[in-house]
Amino acid sequence: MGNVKYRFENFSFYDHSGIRRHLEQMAQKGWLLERAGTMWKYRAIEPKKIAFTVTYCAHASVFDPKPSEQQQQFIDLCAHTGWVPVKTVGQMQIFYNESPDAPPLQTDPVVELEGMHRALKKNFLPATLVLLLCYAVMLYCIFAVHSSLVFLLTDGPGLGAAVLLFMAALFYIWQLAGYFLYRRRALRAAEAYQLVWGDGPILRYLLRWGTTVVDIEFWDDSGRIFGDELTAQQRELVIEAFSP
Amino acid sequence: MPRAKFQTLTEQMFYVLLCLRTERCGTDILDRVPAMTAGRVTVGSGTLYNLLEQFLDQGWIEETKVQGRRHSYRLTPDGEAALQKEYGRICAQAEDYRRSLREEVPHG
Repeated sequence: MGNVKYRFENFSFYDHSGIRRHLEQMAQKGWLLERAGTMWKYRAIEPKKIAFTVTYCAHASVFDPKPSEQQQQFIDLCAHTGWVPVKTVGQMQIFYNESPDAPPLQTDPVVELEGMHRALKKNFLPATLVLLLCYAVMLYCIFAVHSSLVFLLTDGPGLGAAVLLFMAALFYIWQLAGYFLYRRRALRAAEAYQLVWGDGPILRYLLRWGTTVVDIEFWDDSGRIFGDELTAQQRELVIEAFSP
Repeated sequence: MPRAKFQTLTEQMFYVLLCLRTERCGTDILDRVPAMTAGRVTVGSGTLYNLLEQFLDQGWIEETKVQGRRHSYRLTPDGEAALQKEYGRICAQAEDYRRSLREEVPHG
C-alpha cells in the first residue's frame, strides 16, 4: 500500500460536520488529510484519533497564491491553541489538532454561523446565483432556437444539452436550497445551544453514493491504477459508502 | 426567539470586550479570558476572530498597532458604553435575585 492516496470527496460546501466526521474516521483508519482541492490528498499515518474542524474565512480566496494578511492572522490565532491548517483552496479552512485535549476552535455556534454566512456571501452564494443565471440564459437560447417542443425532441444534441443544463441547474438549486434550509435549522438550534449536522442523512447518502461512482483512487508507489481489482480497503470504502 | 444582535452580550463577548480595556492582541485575549475566569470561560480561536471582526465593524474596538503579523486592539468609547450597559444589566439581574431572596417567605 502506498503512503499517499488521492480521493474525490463529494460534500456540500457547507457540510462542515460531515467533512469533520469523515476526516476523523479517515485518521482513525490511518489517513491524514494533507491537501483539499479538486482531489483530496491523504498521507498514511499511524491510525489514531485526531480532532478536525472545518471553518470558513471570508478573507480567503481561490485566487490568492498565498494566505492573505487577514487569513494569516486567523491561522496564527488557531496555531496558538494547537490547530494546524491543512492546505485548502478557497474559503473553507480545515484544521486538525492531535492533542487529546484539543480546545474547540468555535465556542459560540451563533457567531460561527454568522462568520460562515459572511464568508459564503462573498463567494459561494453569488457564484452559484451567477451560474444559475447562465444556465437559465442557455436554456432559454436552446428553447428559442427550436420553434416548437416537437422540433427540440427531434434534435438529439439540442435535447441532450437541454437535459444536461437542466440537471446541472437542478443540482445547484438543490445546493442553494440545502444551504438555506441548513442555516435556518442551525440558527434555531444554535440559539438553543445545540449542534446541527450540515447535510441531512439522505443528501449525505446520495452525495457519498455519487462519490463512490467516481471513486478513483491513485496510489503513488504501489503501481495500482483504477481498473484493477478492488483492494480490501477499496471494498471497505465502497461498503461504507453504501451503508445507511 | 432569535438573539437580537448585540442587544445583550454573551459571556464570551463580555470578556473579550473586558480584556480590550487594555490594548491587547488576539493571542493575549485567548490566554487572558481563561485566566480572568479561572478557566470557567474560554474563547475558541475561530470565535475570537469572528468576534473581533464584528466588533471592528460595529465600531466597538479599534486596531491600535500592527507589529508584523501581530494586530493589537483597544476598546473605543462606544465599546466602553456597550460594556457598561451590559454590566448594568448583570447588576440589575443580581439585585433582582437578592430582592427575591429577601422577599421570600420561609416555609413551615
